[in-house]
Amino acid sequence: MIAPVPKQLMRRAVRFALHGFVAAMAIGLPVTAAWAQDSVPTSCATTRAASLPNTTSKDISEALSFFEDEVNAGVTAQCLVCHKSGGAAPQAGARLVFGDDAQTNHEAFVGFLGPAEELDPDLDAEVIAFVERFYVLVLGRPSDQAGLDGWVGALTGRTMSGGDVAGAFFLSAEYSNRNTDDDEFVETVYRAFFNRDSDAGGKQGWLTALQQGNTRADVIDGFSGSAEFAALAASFGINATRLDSTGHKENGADTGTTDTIDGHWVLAKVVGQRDHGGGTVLTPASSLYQSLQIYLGLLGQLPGSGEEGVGFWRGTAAESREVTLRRASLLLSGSVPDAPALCEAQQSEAGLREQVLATMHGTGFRDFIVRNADDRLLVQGLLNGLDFNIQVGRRYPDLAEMALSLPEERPEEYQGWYKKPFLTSRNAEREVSRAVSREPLELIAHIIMNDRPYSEVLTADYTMVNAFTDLAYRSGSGFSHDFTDAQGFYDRGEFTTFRPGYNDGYVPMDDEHETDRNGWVTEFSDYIQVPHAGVLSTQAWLARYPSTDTNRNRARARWTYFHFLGVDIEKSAPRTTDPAALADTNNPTMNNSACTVCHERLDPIAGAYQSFGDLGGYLNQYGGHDSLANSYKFPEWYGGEPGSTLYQEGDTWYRDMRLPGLEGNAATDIAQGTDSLQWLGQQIAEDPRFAAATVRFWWPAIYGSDPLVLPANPNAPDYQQQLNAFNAQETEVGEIAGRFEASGYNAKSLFADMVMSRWYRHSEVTDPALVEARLVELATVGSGRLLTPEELDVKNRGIFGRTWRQSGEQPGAHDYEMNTALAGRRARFKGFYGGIDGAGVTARNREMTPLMSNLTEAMAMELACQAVVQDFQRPRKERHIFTHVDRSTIPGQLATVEAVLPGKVADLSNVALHQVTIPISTVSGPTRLRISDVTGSSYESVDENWTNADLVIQKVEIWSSNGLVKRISAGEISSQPDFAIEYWHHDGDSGPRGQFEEGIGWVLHENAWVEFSFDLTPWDYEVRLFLGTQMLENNINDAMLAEINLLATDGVEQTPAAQAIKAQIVDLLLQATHRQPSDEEIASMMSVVITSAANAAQRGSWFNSNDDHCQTWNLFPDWETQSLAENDANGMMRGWTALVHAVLTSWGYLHD
Amino acid sequence: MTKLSNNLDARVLGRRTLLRAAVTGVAASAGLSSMRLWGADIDSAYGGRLLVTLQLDGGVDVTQLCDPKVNIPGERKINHWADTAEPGQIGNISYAPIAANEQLFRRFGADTLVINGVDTQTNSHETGRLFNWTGSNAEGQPSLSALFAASQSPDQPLAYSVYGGLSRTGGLISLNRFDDLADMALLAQPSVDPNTKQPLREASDVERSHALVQADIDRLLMQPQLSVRQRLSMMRYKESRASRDGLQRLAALIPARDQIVPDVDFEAGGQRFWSNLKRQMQGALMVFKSGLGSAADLSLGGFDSHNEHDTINAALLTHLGDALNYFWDEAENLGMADRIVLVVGSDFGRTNHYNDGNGKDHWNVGSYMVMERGAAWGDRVAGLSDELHFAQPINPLTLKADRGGVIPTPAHVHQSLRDYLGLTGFAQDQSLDLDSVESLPFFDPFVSSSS
Repeated sequence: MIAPVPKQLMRRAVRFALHGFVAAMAIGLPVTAAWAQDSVPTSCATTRAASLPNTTSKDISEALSFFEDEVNAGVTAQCLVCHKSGGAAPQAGARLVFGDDAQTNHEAFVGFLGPAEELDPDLDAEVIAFVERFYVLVLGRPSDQAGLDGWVGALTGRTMSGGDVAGAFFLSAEYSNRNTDDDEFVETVYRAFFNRDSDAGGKQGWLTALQQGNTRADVIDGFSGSAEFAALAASFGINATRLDSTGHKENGADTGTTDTIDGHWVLAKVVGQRDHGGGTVLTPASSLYQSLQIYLGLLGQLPGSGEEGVGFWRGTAAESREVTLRRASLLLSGSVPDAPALCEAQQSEAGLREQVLATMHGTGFRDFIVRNADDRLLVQGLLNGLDFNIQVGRRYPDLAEMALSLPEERPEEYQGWYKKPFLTSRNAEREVSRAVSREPLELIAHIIMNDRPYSEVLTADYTMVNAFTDLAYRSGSGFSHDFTDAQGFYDRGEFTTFRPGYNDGYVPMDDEHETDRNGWVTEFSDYIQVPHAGVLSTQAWLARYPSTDTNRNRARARWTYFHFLGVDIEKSAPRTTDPAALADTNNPTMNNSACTVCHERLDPIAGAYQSFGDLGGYLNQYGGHDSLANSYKFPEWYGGEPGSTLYQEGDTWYRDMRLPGLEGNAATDIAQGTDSLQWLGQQIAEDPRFAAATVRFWWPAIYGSDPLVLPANPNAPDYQQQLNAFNAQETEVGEIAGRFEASGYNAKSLFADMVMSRWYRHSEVTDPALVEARLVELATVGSGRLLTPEELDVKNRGIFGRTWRQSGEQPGAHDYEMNTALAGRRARFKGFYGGIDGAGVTARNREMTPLMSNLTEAMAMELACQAVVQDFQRPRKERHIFTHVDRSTIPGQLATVEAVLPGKVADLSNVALHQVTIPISTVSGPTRLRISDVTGSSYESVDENWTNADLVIQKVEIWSSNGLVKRISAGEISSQPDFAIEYWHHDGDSGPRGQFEEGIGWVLHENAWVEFSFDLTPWDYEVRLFLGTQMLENNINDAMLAEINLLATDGVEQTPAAQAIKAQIVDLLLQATHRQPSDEEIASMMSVVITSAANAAQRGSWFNSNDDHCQTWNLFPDWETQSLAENDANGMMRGWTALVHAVLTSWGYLHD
Repeated sequence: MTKLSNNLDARVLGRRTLLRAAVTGVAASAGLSSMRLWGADIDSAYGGRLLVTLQLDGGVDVTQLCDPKVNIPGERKINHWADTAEPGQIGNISYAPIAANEQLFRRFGADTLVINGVDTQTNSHETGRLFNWTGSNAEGQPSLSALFAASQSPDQPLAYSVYGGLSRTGGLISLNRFDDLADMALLAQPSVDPNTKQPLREASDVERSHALVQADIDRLLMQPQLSVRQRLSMMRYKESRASRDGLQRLAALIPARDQIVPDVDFEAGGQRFWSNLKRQMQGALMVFKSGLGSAADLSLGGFDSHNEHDTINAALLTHLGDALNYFWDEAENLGMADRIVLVVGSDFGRTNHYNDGNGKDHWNVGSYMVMERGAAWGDRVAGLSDELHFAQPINPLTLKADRGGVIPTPAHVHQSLRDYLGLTGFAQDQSLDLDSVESLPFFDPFVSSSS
């Protein structure tokens, strides 16, 4: 990997200067360094410059020098074809005409754009003073000459405003390294911007804003736009904010339009706006565009530059840091951040970024990478119906040797036994093909997870292998090749591990190549080492974009351009509508200008793929020397004239196409042993466009929408909004790409920057008037997007610990991955919820529909109860949801005791006696006592005879420190206030499940309950229960289990239980929707839980009773555990289920 | 000539206005957040006209279907079939005598309008699909089917169903993507076990959950700090929930798993092909029968035959003919055949010669077929291409060859279809006019391009 060259850094630093220096600071350049770079020439001296109109010789010479170094080559390559004398552009009326040398072209620009505003040299002294005070006040030191010159030049040249300069000092790395806290920062801002100390109210307001997640840049913005700073800046003769275009000339008479002709106009043209006859030539993120932007700025032709970007964000604000971390953590790793992480993130922007980075590990992050890389590359579509018949058995002798040792079919004795797959020879072939299909995704994951430079996706001289491809490729990556157990069965889950490796196991088709009747290679000449060029040489990538005799790798070239250089060749030039041109058969891609406009760029890249055949086989034609189509090499075989081919022995590329290369650079002099595809990968990795292309590649993964494209129809009603959004996005892309490049192409750093960006975080509106009528413009900014099915699946696991139709905790032996309702290859509802298969469906539906909302309802109907039952069954410390309450926690609860009552009786005339004492502190109002038999399997006997296990209540006593307060005998129970008992229901009949029996007590039937109330003055008491058990000796249990609940029915809110439930609701909402509920919402949700629980308790003691059906059979290891897990005597689990159902279908849960 | 009523629905007009207001919170503060934007009449089934597009992905060779071309001495061979056969003719429609074409036009020719010589102005799949199914080669226009659904049945929860192909909503209406029909039962009635038909949860608990979600959305929509994206997705979610009860009408129509039309696979030209086209058709007709929707997009891929063109094209056209028979038979059985307009088209055409691999490459000229039972405009051919399959200009009034006339593009076809389907006014009200193309009288039964 080649590290970013200083020149690139310099260039980018200068570019960022035009955008307010923020990014330059972020990549660690000291404030002075940005101006000390050579790429902004400080010397000047050309005689021609003096003759140019109305601008200083220094400016002109800087511009010319920059033009010569950074712009002219691009103009010559991209613009000259039309804008030359007699070319298509002048014929169409364009006045901008270029020639053969930089001086001429520079003069063309200057002549066309006319004079820039004259500068006032007398301003310098005041401007120097203005800048000097920021050095002293902000950085605490005097200026250095190079830095001072740079800032003064920017202010006098009006490429920056006073506010820009001030902000750049505060956002510089040098200031950042001073590690000031928010208090000191705000105080310094007051002094720097207002030349005074802060006032208490104002300062507190800014500190509060920072604590709520606003950034320091937001604070700077606020001060920059203030009247007080404007007055201060004016006292130095400086504008506080950017200039408007007033004073710039109207060139309508010359152009036939009323547009203002300035640098913005030129930049709009080159990206295809303002009816540019050449269509889209550059994208704003391209290096040439950026160089042109700098050049035009040096000419003083970018009035108000950057104001559009600022304006785009007006009226919006960042969400809190806590919310950002919660969102990012779920997105990137499928997990909920813990309290220390949230705390750290809330402290500062740096803390947040650090915690975002900290989420990037583990299988969750890996899954994020693989899933989203496939969304772009679509290689898993190869397993969903696309042609992937790559015949690995013919090409890999080591695989063939192993496969031939395996049965062709599952042996007779194992027919009908499908717990595990049996490894047949065809299965071995499929396993290799499957591993091949994963290579590009595994490679990208490997690079990112291991902090390798992301450019390796194009330059890696290795690929990724699992145990099967390790064998086939002869990779020697350390895998065991004992694929099966002794019987021949294997577990596919064991083959999901990939490691770096090489493909040295491939053999050519030649005279010595022989296969058996099934196509397995048996004889061959020698192994070939397949060259690796990152993703580009993986057979999955090559097969996903297959070639044909006439396509000749052009589809591969088109997608290479798109994904790795950010160029959509389909949109790069207007397509011809001339039928003659379309019907031209005289090799139009070489000769017809209507075609060459694209093909001269596309075809050299196609040529770089010369070694790889239609489905990606290396040198796949007979003889193993090339991959050229037989129809080209031997036309006579296809009815052509013998000898009519241009092919010559030893050729590896078509002679009627352009040479392999990239945009004017031919891959001719590459080193021995280097494949042209490796050369191409290296070229692209070093191309300045690669960084921006990478940002766009990952854009949907982070922001949940496709990158915006330049709007094509200026007559569309929303055109201006689309254009504004596109321009703002491109600015964002450029800034993020700059940091990515400076990080040495670290993808984790890239993801963190994308998360930290305004596009991700500006989820709040601070001024509705400023966003009014900007529906299209802001439609994809911030949070609020619908989660994809896979993301919803991940969120279910992260929040609730399980997902919809999850079977077990690990994939079965037949699966490589978990197959649930929403994710995995067999996900039954993924397609309905807008998912893709990478083959027939490649675009996600990201908008909710009635059918999809019903799908979420179906999910909640099944998942809510499972999640609740399973979570309560976990030990408290291991729970995902219910960390504040137990299943028996009910509002108003004063005490809950589970009493173990051992002992058996010989017959029902006997009772085993027990006393249970429970201390309580009552609140005002009645206290409700509920006694429930929760003994498990109490109908089961050890001898299959009838058995019995009844709980008996003999009396209840309530004591205070002063002695006995109240005694309730068994016979008095039914007359107590609010008496209630569980009823049985059968065939329309019903009756109580318990009764008073003289001489024994109040007898409860198996698993029944009884409850009643008593009123006590609020105080500390002991409740003493005198219980008995009538469990016969043949019962399966040794002891009965009773649950005793004491509840307050008034003043419920005062009880610890109610507080715990409230805390639980808040926690659940915060984790699931990232939002703190209001008191009113908490009350509503608590009401749902309590009401549903109370009704459920009336229906029965068990979850699966009457109209409550919860499929929990696969959650627990055995029936007994399941039975215990479903015990819901007071109905709270069903109450919580109602709430979880609502959460699962809430807007906040289903949207990021 | 039958012309569909221009069912301009004020609720759709109001939707954009409401959404725009919603962005700034005006809707919420004005109490509009409780107002359903569609789904207002979910209990009544849609009973009007139905539109289906069948997208033949990859670029179909219409010289082997409805615009047959024979070989011209001195020119490169355009069709191998023409070595031994002449084009067939049924009524006014000529066809290539391969695959199931004869049966296709014998049965449906009287109900079919063929539009030949359509210049798609591109040889890019992406642009071709976009142009052919939206009428514009730039993004921003809705698919014809989306426009139709938004105009005709905006209230219905499955107004616009997508089973494959290119679909653009243009912000007018949501699209519903369909997968395995066997899983539809649960989605139609999510609170009922599809097997036992028993409720999955106590009804009052479910109602409480629903009320909580509803109150949550209403409360959130009142928050002034919501971003544009949040507010839009929130309102969309609210609409979706409000409209979904009508999906229960689908429950009784969902076929048992063994009644779902099986997929087919076949081999041609050394490649394996798999198609669920009939299943797509079954799903679309099921939704239509339920009265929950009015438009559907179907697709059949594989037509990008750069190699072994004849074999692949013939196999796919045979399957196409078989599937069209199924479609109209099933529509007849369900009593809906009279209500359906079916538009068949492709990305573009294929070259007027074979390449060195016996394939055919991309060609900018293609055709459409529009089918409607008993259509007065059936058994006609509009548009012309010459003997080498170059699009020919036609007179915009008579449709006859006219050097000073126009060469139809997909924009012309869409403009005419919009007129015929009664969508033009609706599109204008949505600022979705097609760029400066006239409406050609493709659906006038008294003019045609052939004699």
